[in-house]
Amino acid sequence: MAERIELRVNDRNQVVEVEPFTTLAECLRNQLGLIGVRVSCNQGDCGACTILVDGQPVNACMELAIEAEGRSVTTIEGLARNGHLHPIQQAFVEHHGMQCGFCTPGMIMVARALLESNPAPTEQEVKEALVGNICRCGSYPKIITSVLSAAQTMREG
Amino acid sequence: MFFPSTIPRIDQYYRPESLEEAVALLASHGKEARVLSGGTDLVTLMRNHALAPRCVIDISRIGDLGYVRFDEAGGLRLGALATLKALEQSTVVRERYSLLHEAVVHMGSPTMRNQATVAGNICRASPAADTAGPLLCLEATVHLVGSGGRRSVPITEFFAGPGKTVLAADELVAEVRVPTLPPGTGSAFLKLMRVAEDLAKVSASAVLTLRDGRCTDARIALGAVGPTPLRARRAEAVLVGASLDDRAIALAAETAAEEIRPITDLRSTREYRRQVTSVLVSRAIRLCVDRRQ
Repeated sequence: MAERIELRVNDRNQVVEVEPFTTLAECLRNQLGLIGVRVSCNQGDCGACTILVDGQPVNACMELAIEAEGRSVTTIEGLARNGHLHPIQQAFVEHHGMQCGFCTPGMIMVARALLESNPAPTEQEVKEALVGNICRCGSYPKIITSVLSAAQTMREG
Repeated sequence: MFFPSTIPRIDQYYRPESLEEAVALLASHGKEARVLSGGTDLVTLMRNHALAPRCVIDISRIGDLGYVRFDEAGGLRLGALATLKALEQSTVVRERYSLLHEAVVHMGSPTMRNQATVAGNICRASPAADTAGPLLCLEATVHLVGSGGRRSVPITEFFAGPGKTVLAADELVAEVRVPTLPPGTGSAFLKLMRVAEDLAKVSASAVLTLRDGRCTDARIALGAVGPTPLRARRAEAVLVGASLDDRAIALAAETAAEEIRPITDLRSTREYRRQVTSVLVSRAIRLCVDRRQ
């Protein structure tokens, strides 16, 4: 039986009708058009669907949409402000922290949560934070460079 | 491997606000119902069509169950919703129950550890459950709540088979309690895996107490080498009363490898699991000796 729930997604209140078996990833992609939530393994191994729920990184494929009722959800689409990319996004562009780009939203969302709690991570801490995010192009060195550079930019304000 | 992309139909979803309400729902829905907290196991099992419950009882918003508390008299208490991350960040877990800390930091990804709970890990009863070995060595008790009231079960009697526990259909884990460790005790958790964030091929947990150079208490648990996470009782018996020299350690390691029942699956072979079990056990014992406090 479908239920109407309210979510706060990227700072906007949204009312969606979901089945109890709809995942949050399916809801965000199919009902709200937020296709930056990438679904690859669909079982929590790849990290491509990582979003923030109340500021904490979560695999959107492993959470039911209905569980998130009333929560605040942030996807990659919610990071830019007034037409300006978030410093982490900007750093990924500048350092080319990607190749095909499929894993990029998940990488950036994890980086966002990391830099929120640890504004000056070491290279090792960045690697540990990203252990659940797989990049099959193997762009890891540039992804790490991008996160470290973003951290510096954000610290300098 | 093919993963069906959608979860089978769920007819009813409930979000109880108390454990008592959750128990009443479980009692009325019986085997049709599954309990959802972190979801990292349940949602994956449903998607892979390994489980297709008609009813899901989401306990994740029951208040005040995410605690990790410690006091000298009662030891460590973990609420039903204590996440792996909460354990990872707990100073008392890191300093006083170091094997539990070591197990948790190697489980899944940091993102998954935000979602997954300790209670969920033991209720899933995977032979490879990483929190199980440390809790078996620490002789934790699992406190259950059901329609008939509350009861507690030693974790050594909690696992009943792969994916099976002694929980009745109308019971839930309310709390896991871990006693304090005596002076002269060291602990270690070691896990062999293919890549970071993988499940264990084999895991070894150990808690040893030494007095005047002799081992007075030995607890060794092994994961992914039998139908449940298990205690290596015969290996423990080899160590108790012994001074932990190379010979005693080698004998205990060899004994542990003999008393397990490993299988061959996609992560490893039976033979390899047996060999590395003895290696991990001997390393874990040595770490316990070095770390005793």
